Amino acid sequence: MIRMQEIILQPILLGLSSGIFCASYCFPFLIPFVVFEERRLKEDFKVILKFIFGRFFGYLTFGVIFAYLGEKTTNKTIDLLFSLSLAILSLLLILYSIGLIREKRDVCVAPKFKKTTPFMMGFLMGINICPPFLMAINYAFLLHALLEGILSFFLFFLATTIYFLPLTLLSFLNKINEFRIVARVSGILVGIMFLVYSFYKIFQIV
Amino acid sequence: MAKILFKLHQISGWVLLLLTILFFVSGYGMKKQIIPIDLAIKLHNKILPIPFLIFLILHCLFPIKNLLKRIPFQSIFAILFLIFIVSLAGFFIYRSEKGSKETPENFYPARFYETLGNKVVRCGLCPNRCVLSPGQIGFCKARKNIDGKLYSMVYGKIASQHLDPVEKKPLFHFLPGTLIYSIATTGCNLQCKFCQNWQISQVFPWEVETKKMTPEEVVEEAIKSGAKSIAFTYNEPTVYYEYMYDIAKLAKERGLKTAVISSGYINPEPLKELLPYIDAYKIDFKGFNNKFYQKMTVAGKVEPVMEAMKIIKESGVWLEIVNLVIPGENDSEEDLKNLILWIRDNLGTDVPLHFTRFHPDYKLLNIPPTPIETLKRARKMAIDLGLKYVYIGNVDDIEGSTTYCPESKEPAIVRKGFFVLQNNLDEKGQCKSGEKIPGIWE
Repeated sequence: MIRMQEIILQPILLGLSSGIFCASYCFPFLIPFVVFEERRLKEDFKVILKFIFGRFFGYLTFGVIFAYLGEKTTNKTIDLLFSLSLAILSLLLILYSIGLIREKRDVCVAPKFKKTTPFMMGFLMGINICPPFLMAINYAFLLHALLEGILSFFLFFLATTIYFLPLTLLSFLNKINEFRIVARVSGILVGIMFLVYSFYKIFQIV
Repeated sequence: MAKILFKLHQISGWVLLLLTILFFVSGYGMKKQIIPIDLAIKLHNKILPIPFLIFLILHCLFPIKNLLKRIPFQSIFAILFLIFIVSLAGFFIYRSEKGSKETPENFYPARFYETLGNKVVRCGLCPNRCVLSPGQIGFCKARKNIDGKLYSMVYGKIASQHLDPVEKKPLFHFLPGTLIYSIATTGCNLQCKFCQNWQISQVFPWEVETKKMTPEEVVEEAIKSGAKSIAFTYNEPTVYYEYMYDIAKLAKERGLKTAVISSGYINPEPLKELLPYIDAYKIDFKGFNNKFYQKMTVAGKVEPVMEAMKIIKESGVWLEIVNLVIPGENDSEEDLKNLILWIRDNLGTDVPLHFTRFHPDYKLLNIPPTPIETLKRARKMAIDLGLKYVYIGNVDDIEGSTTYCPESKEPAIVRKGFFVLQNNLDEKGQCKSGEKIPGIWE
């Protein structure tokens, strides 16, 4: 009974209680992304799913790298990795906001790349781990069992994901021109803020 | 879209009503203690507000959509939207920077660690012996490696302070009937599943409200409060070793006595350095075997605790032992007997032993409270095996909390709960029959 509680209930509760923090880290990137293109509800949902899937993939990559390298990785390397991924993420957001990467078919960029942008953003966001994620990974390691650890981590991820799904409903905002413009501007502003911040961090590390 | 939003508006309205009722019920339950306090706090403060907020947002989406359609100030809302997004980004950066601001200036240099090269350190304070790369925090959530040097993150950060009866610790042979100024920081090096102070012991110092106090201020406050002694208690004092050491040293100079309420999970070297400034040590001897420690704590072992108790006893510091009896986990005849015999053979028959009642807490909510009969059985067994001062705690039992003169069997100190009803000992701890009861009495 206690084991069940540890593997299933605890990670779900952890995810539910800390998911709001996860969301506060991802929303500045995700919200402009949802609002600045006029799409149908279904399409917006797909964009968010891709983002979530990318985020999960990012988390997994991070987890596997850590499990493999263990203490071989120094804190400096990790910080540098975070800062670089944040810089790429910010750049991606700026490029998307100013229209250099578009979802609709365009002469300049191949459509295959454009469709994967939400996934890429989610992936880069996943690499930029947040404290609740660290807590979950720590918790999964403490269970001392591989499969149970993976299951508990997955449940944690699912619980945090709940907070992302309602974003689909912001779809109604992308029907309003003013919001589309503002979302683009906020995308550029947020992108610049984070780009500057990531460079500041990189210079600090190097 | 409009239909979906409208449906959501309706459904979320009902859910909000339900959540509001639950919110009031848990709040009322918490205040009146009708439902278990921990469950109520968790429900009221942690779990319910989140869905409440989500459903409130969902509930508002439909009216917002309609509002946006009808009024001509869409650009104003759009700008508010922009401010919201940029503020969220600012919040993200602020949070990240706040985390990285944990510079050595905010912390206190820790003792007992060795450098392993490449700025990796090994903490030597407790048997966990955490190996920490730069930036890593110890298992105790209280010590951090910053650039190859170990720092205490909890020095001077009081998470809890109270004026308690000394019997609450429990210390029965240490200044009976007096008040003890009790302090705690955050963190713990064992993480027991049945922890009763998990709100402060299982968290980082920035996760709870703390009050900054220098050792001088703590001692000053203790004197002002009228307490005769200071207790390092609630969370595991070992994790705030440097702070405890400085306070204890100062307290001694100012004529106060000191007591450590601990699991005893500490390495011999730091323990020996601390003992000259400590008058009493209460050790929570959780169970006699490693199996129990491994099951109930995250990484604990029993041997270091036994070693610590022997060192304390040999040093002459007053020692009392508590054993929390958990049904089905450490209450078997064999477990109790082994524990009693080990105490008798290694520490002597004069060491007071308290069998305390387990109450479901923290992660161990599925085990019922210990039957009082089990505690009485354990007490009888200990007395039969030769221990002179055996008590039962966390229950209202006058006989089990009375100190008896070992030969004449006359009641020496009669207690009820945390309070002394009758103290028949003289200032030196002598019974009327002339028998001396060991302890610290003045």
